[in-house]
Amino acid sequence: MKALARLRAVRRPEASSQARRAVRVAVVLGAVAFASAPYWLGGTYFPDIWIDMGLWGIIGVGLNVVIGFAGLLDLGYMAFYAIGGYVFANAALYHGFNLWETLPIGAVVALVSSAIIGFPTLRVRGDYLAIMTLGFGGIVYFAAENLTALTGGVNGLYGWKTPSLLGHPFVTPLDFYPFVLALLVVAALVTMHLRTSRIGRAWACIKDDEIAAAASGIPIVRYKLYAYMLGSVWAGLAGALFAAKEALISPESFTFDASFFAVAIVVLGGMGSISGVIIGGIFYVVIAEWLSAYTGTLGGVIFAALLLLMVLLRPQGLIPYRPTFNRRRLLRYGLPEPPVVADDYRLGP
Amino acid sequence: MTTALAPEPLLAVSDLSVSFGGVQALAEVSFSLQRDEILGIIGPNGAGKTTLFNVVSGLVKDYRGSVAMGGVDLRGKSPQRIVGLGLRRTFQNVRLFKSLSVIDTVLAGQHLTIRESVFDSAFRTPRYHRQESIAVQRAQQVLAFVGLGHVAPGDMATSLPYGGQRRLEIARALAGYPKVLMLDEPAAGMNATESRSLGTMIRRIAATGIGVLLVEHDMRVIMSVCDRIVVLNFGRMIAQGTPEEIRSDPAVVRAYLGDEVGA
Repeated sequence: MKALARLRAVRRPEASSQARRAVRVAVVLGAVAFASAPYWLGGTYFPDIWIDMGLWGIIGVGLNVVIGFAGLLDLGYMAFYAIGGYVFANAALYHGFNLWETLPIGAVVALVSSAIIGFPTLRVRGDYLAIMTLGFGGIVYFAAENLTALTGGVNGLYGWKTPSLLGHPFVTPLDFYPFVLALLVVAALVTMHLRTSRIGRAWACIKDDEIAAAASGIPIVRYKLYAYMLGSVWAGLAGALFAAKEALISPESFTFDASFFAVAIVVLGGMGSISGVIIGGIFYVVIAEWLSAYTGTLGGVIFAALLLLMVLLRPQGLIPYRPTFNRRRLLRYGLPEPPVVADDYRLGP
Repeated sequence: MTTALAPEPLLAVSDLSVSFGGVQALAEVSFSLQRDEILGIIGPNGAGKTTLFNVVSGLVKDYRGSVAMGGVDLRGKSPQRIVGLGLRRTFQNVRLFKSLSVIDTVLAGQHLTIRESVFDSAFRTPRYHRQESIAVQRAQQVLAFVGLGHVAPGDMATSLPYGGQRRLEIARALAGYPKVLMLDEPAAGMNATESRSLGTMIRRIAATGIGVLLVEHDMRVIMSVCDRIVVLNFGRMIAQGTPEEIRSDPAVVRAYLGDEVGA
């Protein structure tokens, strides 16, 4: 019996790590298969849907930094999507910029505008912040409708030269798809990195307890501003890609509904969970857009009902974020043999 | 320690007075804290201990008198600036971060000493890896120092038993290389064995050169651990001295017993 118990103790971690590896391989293969679906499904319909999923995924990943990491409720997030889109449209239409030259400009404009908006607003707390961001979203929407010289008013902007890369023009959705996918991967990786670092820990502290965070020397308002900026930049980039793909940009893409759905994606997917919010984006597109193509407004109703059920039954989201300190990180960064008992009167390096 | 030739104190409070509306919360309180010294602050409820902590940590800004740390006047400094000058504290009601693991909590305490920029974090530069390594190793040593070396570092901070949470809070404070550590009732809710080993740990902390300011109701801890004790009553300092002096001080006895009789 004793020998058996010892054997089991030895084998258990082995087996579990093997099982974990099998699951990981299956998940990666599944993700690759899903992401490459537009290529083997072909046509323009499916690539269009997949681009939508990718863009909502990027929006989810960006807003996740603001809501999931730093705990700030932002109800005007799509304003930065609009800003990115209009920056691209103006640069393409009046200054002859290519999409690839505009993307960094869109990112910088989103960063700067979020800093300008965030600096005064992030001093207020909780509900007040939600109201102020809601107001900001509204302002950008009405500006898009009425600042005709910059935005083309309700008709929007269109008619710029087709973007091209190395002489290859971007016409079909399948041309844009790899770039949407690449931006999604970069956004996911960068925010994942931020989460397990000094800035990510500071956000978690602020979300959990501002008084204790301040007692650890974390400047609250500054780190909220960082979260707001580093979240908004992805919306700016996604907005530019969206405008380029549609070959048109108009205010109807940035109504309050859009900002609401962005929040819904984060809640549905799982606040703080990067894979969760990407799946949240996929879910949103499948249910609210694809389904409504067949059922009319019913798609929206189903999405709303699903959201309600989610909040009631599984408030942590589809794929909840479980914060743990990864064993591999500990092996990589930690001491080879971490001390168990105090080394008297000394306090380490 | 209190002679004229003593080195510059870590913390010097002189003629500190605070009033809220008409209530005098603190009146002309003066004391100083040296390196590797443990200074106990005791007094009945409402004596002004919490107000004193809040003035030193920068939460109460409207006061008369002066508070200086290592010769730097703290007047007008934000709580974060004061933390940056080397002041760390724990809280009477434990305040741990509910979404951080044990080791991440101690890493969060090192926020001001980890030198990595947002760029380093986002793109995992060599500096990120170096800094994380330094920070994680420090965290492991601090955890062992406070007696949490046996705890799984990936466990959630709030999943620890109560005594462990108190120790983890101290670890978070210690990780940031404090000069002055303020402990707000660290032994509250602990049994005799736990508070005895806590007392030993506080002595070890002071032995590393940190000045400890200890507010505590548990008289066994106060009397066995402190080098000196300041007694407050209704915002006034009624006594100051070694545990032996305080024990036999008639004003202290009157304050404590009078409280009992009056109530």
